[in-house]
Amino acid sequence: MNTWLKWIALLGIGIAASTAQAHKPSDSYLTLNASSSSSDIRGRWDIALRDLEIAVGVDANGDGAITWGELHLNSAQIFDYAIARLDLSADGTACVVSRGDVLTDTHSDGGYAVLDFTAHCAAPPRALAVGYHLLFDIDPSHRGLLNLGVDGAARTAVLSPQQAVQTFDLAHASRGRQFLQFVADGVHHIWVGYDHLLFLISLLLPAVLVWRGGRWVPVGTLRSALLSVIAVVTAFTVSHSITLTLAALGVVGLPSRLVESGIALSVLLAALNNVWPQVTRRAWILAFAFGLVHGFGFASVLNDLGLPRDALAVSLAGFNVGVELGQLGVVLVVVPLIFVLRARRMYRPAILVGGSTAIAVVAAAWFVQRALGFGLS
Amino acid sequence: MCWEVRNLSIGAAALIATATLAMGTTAFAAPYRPAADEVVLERLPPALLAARSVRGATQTGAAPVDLDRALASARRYIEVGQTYADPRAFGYAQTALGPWWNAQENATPALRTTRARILQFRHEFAAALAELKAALDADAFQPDAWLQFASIEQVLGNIDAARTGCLKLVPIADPLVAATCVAASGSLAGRSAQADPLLTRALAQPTAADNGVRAWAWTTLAEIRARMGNVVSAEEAFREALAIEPEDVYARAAYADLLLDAGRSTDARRVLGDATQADALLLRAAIAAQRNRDRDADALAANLSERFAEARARNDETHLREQARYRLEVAHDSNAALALAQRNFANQREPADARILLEAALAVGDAAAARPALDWMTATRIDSVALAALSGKLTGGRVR
Repeated sequence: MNTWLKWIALLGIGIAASTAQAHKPSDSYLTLNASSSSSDIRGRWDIALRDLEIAVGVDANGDGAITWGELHLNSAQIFDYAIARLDLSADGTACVVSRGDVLTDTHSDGGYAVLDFTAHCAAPPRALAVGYHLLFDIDPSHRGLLNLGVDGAARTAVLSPQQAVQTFDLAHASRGRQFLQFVADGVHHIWVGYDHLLFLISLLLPAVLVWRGGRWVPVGTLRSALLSVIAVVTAFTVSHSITLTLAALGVVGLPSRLVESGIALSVLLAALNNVWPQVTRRAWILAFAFGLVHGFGFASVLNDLGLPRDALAVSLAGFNVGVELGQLGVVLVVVPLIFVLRARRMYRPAILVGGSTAIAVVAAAWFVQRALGFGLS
Repeated sequence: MCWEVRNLSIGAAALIATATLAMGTTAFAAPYRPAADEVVLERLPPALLAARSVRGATQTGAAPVDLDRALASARRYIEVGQTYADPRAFGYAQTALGPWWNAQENATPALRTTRARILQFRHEFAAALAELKAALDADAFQPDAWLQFASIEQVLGNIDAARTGCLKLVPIADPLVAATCVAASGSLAGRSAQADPLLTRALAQPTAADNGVRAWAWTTLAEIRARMGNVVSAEEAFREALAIEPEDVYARAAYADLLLDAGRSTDARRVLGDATQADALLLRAAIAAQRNRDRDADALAANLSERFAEARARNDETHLREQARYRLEVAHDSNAALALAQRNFANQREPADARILLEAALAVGDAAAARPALDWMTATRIDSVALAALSGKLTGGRVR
């Protein structure tokens, strides 16, 4: 009687806790760096100390705390244990692992042992097979998170009991492919990111006009229109590249709410400036100032895409090139059109003022929604 | 003109200054060699110490010899996992079952119920229900199996099925367990007015039920009252629950939600305390901190974002509700929140799952996206002031 009551009691909490999952499950982080010109693979393997405590026993004095001394003392045993559970083979031939240092590091959930090693393969691997068998016999919910770098291009995989052995084709992984992927992501982001598009269009609309005697008049030549377009686009590019790079490298960070509302505000102000002209010359300064905020917005997208840390430069450059190409595409469509229309009577009231008013309304709604957290349906 | 340009330059300078101030200490993790042997790298958490002692006591690791002993060790690990919401312990429980984890023929009801508990923790609801149905077909006199069955059906939003499971409990389980189960499912089916007094009466009776059950009963009562909009009496019930089980993750999270809804984010932070190990608590702390403009608001948001990134890295889909709420209320990215909330609602349908879907749909202005949640509300006849208000906004006050 008593035992099943206890069991029920346990389940009682179970109902409540069922949807409030909490702690991070057991993961190890395995990083392998291969190169098309070397038969050696550099490895780093981060294994949670709490997992090693259960598997090998690290807390020698049993006081519930693992010290560097205890880890160091057991490092040979830990290496034996781990390396015996990792099989690397290049094109069908097993690679031989030689040990490096045992160090330590901290992840979001606690202390890890860091095992450095080198796998010597017969030749530079074209197909690399990774057989991962760590901890599955103790905790089947354990996962090995593999980050495999080939000549600086990275790919990731999750190793599980069901997919403990995975083979990777290294011949086709290259920096070039990865770069192109990020270029595509950059173009995509500009084209589906209405806020960036509307900001750019707001700045371009007056570029085919010139402020003279308190009113807008059409520019005479394509050359002078192009000069102001180039100034605006270059300023926007330079400034968003600065903040995109700084944010992506983790040098600078802004809360996303501030960034997102800042972007909405920039669209609003740029559009309003066309309705009630305040900045009528050197619009590039406007583009530069607000471009800084847009750069933070690009960086958050890049982070969401998952930045491979060892190929940061490639992905950053690729994404930025993509953003510029996407932007160039918009310019090539918009500028010829508005240049042709610039002298029409309807250009100012309908396109410049009307279009900008519409943009301002949308941007104001975004701003309220993002800054104050109101939903507008 | 120069004046405007100067203004703009000042604006740009201010932006740069803000950016510089925001310079974080985003340290890229690098392995290191501590200076001295005494440096502590890890204080083993209580969950691991508990699992370690179970391991020592049950000699896990050696091949299990008989089912009864395997079940006994698995249940001890589950108890650890339950108390600390620790996924590792559920993994150890699976291992403790050894060859019986996969055994299909001659699987006893007790084995199936235990396996169902592990599957349920991993949100493998369909597999867990299949185990429970097989166990209950073999032997219907199993209060624990019926309770688990009801709890899973409730998470899935199948309120009628949950109610059936709860009614099966009445003759065979502790009266407080049965009353809590019946009241919980009843209140999700439009019977909160009866569920509150039923559970209040059951809680007033002398009971043999232990602390865990009593805390769960008070938490359930508090949630029923919160959904009815009775903030004061809900708060009383949450306090009763936390007086019994001060560390209960679920009760603290639900209490914090009540306070956040009432605009009392400072009080919410007090209830959450420093215990942000659990994602559920960290999420509420991040929301409250941002509303309060607390100094640690950005740090909490960053920590939460890192945890979700780690979950994504291992293809873990069990946190979609929390991720959606993080996207909506902390990161203010309503489009991403809506996509997550839709995916979440396809998997689980508790009031909180419906709520985040309605809120995200409202923020995006996409009433059609909220349709599954609105339909579910109509089908279940759930009593909830908050859900009704959201539904009213989405449907423009029209009668559904």
